[in-house]
Amino acid sequence: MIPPIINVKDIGYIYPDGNEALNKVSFNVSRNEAFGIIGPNGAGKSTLLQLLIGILIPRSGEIKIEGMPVDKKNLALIRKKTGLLFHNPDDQLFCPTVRDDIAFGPRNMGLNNDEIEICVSQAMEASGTGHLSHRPPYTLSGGEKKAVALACILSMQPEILLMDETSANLDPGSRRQLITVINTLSQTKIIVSHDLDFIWETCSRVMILNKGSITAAGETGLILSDRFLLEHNNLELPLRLQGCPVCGSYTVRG
Amino acid sequence: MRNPRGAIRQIELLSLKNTFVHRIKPLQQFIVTLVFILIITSFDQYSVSQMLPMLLYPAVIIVLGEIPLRFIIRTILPVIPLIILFAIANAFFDKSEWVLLSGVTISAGWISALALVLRSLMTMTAILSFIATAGMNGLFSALEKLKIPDFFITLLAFTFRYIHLLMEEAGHIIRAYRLRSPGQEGISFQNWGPLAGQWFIRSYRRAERIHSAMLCRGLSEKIHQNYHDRAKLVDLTWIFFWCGYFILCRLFPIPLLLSKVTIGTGI
Repeated sequence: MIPPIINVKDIGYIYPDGNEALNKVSFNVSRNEAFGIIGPNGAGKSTLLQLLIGILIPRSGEIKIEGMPVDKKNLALIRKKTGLLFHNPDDQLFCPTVRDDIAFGPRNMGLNNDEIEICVSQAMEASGTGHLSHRPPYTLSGGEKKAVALACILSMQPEILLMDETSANLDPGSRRQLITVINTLSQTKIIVSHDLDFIWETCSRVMILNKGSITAAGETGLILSDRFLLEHNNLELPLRLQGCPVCGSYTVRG
Repeated sequence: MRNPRGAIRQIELLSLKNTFVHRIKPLQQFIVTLVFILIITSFDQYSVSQMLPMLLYPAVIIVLGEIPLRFIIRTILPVIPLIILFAIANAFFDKSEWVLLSGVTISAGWISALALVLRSLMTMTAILSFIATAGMNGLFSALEKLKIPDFFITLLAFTFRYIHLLMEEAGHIIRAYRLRSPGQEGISFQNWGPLAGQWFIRSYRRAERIHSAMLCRGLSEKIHQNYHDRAKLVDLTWIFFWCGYFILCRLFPIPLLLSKVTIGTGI
């Protein structure tokens, strides 16, 4: 049996103000799997992503990435293998030009100029951001910023991608483009989102997190079609399963 | 009053141009600017005419680097009253007499005041022109190549980014305030405290998120600058040409020599 690339066991996290964000959360993610995490606001989804990449350290339990515990000793290696796409791309883009921003990670990895150039070009190609290379990030639209933020992560050639509310604030065209890009990426992906249609199209397995605990996990189709389970967790059926308000018919795609 | 955030963004945008001056390596530009400032400050306090040929350097950078003169003036403008204040004070303290070639006698203080204004304006223009062509990243990479300690460069880089962020957060808060206080001039006094507190907390949290993003992308003790390839012949020529010219200006009274050659008498 192939060991999971991400192994989370009984982790708990309490914020300094006493708010318990996660309680005994355990799950595994296989290599190249696309795994969705859904849940209401304040469920602990973003906290969980920050724990996976070592921005936060769990109060209890253990997280292993490729068998390595996420601790201070392994942090540099884990951050090479794992890329986190932040909820707000403005938090992620801080260099004068798009190219500089995409090259930031490879430069920190100690690559030489030629290697950096290759990484940057490949990341721009994969994310479709080549035409933006000399633009300052603050002049980009929301969709372009998200695509550039993704390129910044891809340029480090991570094995695992963590995405926090990636589809939020995108127009339908940019959202569709993002779904296409994500589905072409072969890396292991953990996608946190409230956009259940987005999860439907990008993830094969999904987990519901509510008040810091897992309330359900399983195949995307099964979980996302369970109206009672979703409503119990302050969610609702994906739009594609809600049927036409006029004739009541369904169109299921993806 | 000029929006500081706009000024920072304009500097960044100007530094992205691709002119002859922009293609000179930041280190070489930095050295020339440094030598320019050192030479300018080494002139005698009454050397006005001798300093004038030094104007050629900022003028060339502004023209070749396509830096709008309006940008330089608008950026320097807030500091000009302070310079004039110092210059006037200087004029009052230095009461010795100065005889012009035309035979008119004036207070030497006014000559040194003029020299002070000229010196300050030329220095600031040179620094601004450097930043507008090399960019802040160019400055950091020049410092790195000059073996300035990493700690200092990282501190400088973070400070620059943090100023940017502070301005952005201040802009958001002021906009939100104005939208909910129609017809009100400025910010009312009783709101200064809460708004300043909000500004600090929001900027701090945002800075923390940006720092986390940097850590996630492998940031260790220092920010690695965008190294360009090695200096070319044109970069070295740039240094030698300008440094040679500055030394000539410092050693020889060029305006006096020129006037002797052209009209047969000194200024």
